[in-house]
Amino acid sequence: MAAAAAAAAASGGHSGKTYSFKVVLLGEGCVGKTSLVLRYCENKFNDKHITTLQASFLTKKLNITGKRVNLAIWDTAGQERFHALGPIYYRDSNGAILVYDVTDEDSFQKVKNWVKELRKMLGNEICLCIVGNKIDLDKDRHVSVEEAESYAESVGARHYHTSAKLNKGIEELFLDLCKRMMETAQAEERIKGNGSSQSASSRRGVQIVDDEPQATPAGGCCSSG
Amino acid sequence: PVPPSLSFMDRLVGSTTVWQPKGLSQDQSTSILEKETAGRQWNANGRFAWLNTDNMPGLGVWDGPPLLLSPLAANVTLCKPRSREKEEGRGGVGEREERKSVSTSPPPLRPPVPPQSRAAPPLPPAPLRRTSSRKSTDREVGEGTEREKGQNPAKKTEREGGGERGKQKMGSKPDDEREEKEVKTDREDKLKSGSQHPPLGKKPSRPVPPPRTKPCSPESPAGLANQSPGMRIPPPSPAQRPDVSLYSPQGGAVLATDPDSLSTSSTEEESRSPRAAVRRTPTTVMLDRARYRLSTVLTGLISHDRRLTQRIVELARDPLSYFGNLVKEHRAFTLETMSNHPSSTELLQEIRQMMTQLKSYLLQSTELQAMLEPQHQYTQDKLESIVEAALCKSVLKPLREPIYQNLEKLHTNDSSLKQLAQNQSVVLGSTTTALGITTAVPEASAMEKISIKLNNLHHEYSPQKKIELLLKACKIIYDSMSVSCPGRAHGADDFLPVMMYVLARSNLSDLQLDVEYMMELMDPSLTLGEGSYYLTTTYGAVEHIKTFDQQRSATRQLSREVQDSIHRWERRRTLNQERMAQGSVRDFLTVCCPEIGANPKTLGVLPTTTMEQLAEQCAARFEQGKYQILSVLLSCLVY
Repeated sequence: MAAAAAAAAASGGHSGKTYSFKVVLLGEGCVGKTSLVLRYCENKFNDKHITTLQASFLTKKLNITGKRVNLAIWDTAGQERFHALGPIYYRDSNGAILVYDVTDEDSFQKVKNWVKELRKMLGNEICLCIVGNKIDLDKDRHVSVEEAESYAESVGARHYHTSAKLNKGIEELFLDLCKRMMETAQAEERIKGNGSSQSASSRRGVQIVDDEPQATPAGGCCSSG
Repeated sequence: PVPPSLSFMDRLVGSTTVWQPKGLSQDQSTSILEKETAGRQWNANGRFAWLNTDNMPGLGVWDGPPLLLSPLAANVTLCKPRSREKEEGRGGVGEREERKSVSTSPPPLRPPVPPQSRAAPPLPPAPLRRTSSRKSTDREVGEGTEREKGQNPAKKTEREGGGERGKQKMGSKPDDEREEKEVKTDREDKLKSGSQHPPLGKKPSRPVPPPRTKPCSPESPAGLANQSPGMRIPPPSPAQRPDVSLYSPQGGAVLATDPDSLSTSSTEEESRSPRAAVRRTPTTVMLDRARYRLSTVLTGLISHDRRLTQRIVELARDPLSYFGNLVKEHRAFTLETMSNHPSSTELLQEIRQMMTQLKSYLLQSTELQAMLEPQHQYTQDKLESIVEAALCKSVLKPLREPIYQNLEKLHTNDSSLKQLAQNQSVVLGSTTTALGITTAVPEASAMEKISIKLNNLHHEYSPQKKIELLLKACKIIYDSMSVSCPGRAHGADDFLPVMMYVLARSNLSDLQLDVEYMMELMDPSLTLGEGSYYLTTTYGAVEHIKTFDQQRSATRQLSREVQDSIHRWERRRTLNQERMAQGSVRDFLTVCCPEIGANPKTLGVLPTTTMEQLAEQCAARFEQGKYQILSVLLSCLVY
């Protein structure tokens, strides 16, 4: 009951005052996804339950321009062999953080693959962040800033540079992502608001609820089964 | 068609309601149909009755279909008189239809509550409730046999005709034993819940011991107000955190030390217990006092929640309540159609949809409003989670067994269980390096603990409780992983391979069904939470094991299946959101029209719905011309 209540409270974002967002963390193993998010959640939010938690699933509460935001951050296993499991993690996501290692050209390629897949599966409603991590190792950089940024722009994503080690750029990344997700959510609400008022006037709000999908006409095998 | 004469209807109908064509609203509600002629009596409280034309000789002359309307109860029955000989002669088909109509068509009417008390119909006093719920169990027993005897329509019809209750009792031998037990526990529950409602004057002042096992002491929950400041403080109990329940005597203390636990993730629960053992200094006494106060409040709140849950469960069992009838009908429908689903996802989603509907009905119904204690305001979220828990108990609990049986059958047929078993042994034979494990793995003792958790998980009926157990198992896995490098937080890269390692050593076939059960039946509002995350990971691990041997070459082929699952998920999400957003369905309306379509159809109705709109809905649902339906409905309204 306790857990249920907590989660229900966390996701009660429908009131318009609290937003609940799911953010999925994608990227090859070893690019520093985990340290990135751990840095973010540990740093400011030193609530005791975070420390006992592991880094696979983290939550963070924010207050942005007077609006409360609950972030649920879902880490994914980055190994190639688990690639096929991606969809079960990113479904329902409001945002995705795609992390690559600036010293590893290959990891940037993986990010591109993810972007393609996400756009194909979720369309434009998901906010994408492409993150070049480990800028503390800039001297070994193998992915050029220009290339990365122009790619991000071309796919409607934002690009960020971070260093989990030096705690650089992380706060900005998440804050920016949250604002964008809020905008998206607000836009969606507006559309929905218009839509529902229209339909309300045209249909006067009659709702048809299917409680017996299918099965009805066939009914024949009921009694024997 | 010649409508029955008014005088006849008067005899039938104690007080007829005019169902205004302009719309349905709660105020206009309450139609009562009394039917002494047919031998069916008002039941004890006279709260509802139904109409079955079969047994109404007087109606034989009347060829018009409509008989019964009850807007508030949201039940319209349009019954055409059926001749009994014909039915009996129909053999197999008739049999089925008869069964159907038994389980679905006698539509329950919303209890006719006088308008002035409608807002908050008083709950029956405790003793009365005891009897009524006793009856309800009897009824369930009856139902059980009814189903068994479904093959014999004639007999049933006969039984139907007579004094129903008595006959049912007599006919209920077969699974009496089990049911009897239920009756007993039911009674016990009753007693306990009875003792949980002390008269308001006697406000108890101590935190409550677990009500499950012991009856409450008179000095019980929720009495911050009349607690004297100088009161003795109960000694802090040594750790021992109870499993999930916050109900132990220590519950209060632990709660107080860790108020956060109410709203935290459950994975850490166990790690925090040692803190409760505090040395007593004057400051700690003060602190304890504060904690104690807090804990009394919390315990009080919790027992209120519990009580409300219990009441909803009782309501769902109560054959005299509208909600109880909805639950009963849905359950009967689910049991009947369960084996017709081509896939496990569809099977489970239909059940979830049904639960979501029952939930949204209940949340907006006056039946729930009547149960709320005015002094306890619940937030919408809280209320929803209470209703969810109660629904799990009243809907899912009895369905758990059949659901699992069907899931197993489906997965045996599509040979996924076999495939899983084969690959399980492949994974078992792989080294930790081959699995991609970079940390320590659980040792034998931890594995044993994990398998106990997973085994308990399997036997649990509530998705939420299952998920709690899953989280505990995950917690044990993390703990064992940290053995090699304490203090390091592990991400998904590390965790997923170990999860696979662990699952390969568990009862994977059970778990596969469990995962599905949890994913599809869990409260949709929890899909962002920690439980959902680890459930997803477990699902991922199982799927990965399923395709393990070919994964090198074929990782991407898996995604077709998974993509399908996303689409389903998307669809469901949209459905749920729409449902949440609409939030304005006033009532569900069950329309039964055997003349046109075999099954009753359920529609959602708003206060503003007009007759014409309703007719449109019916027309769509029954696939009939609108005007035909309209005329049917309008002829109903004449009375």
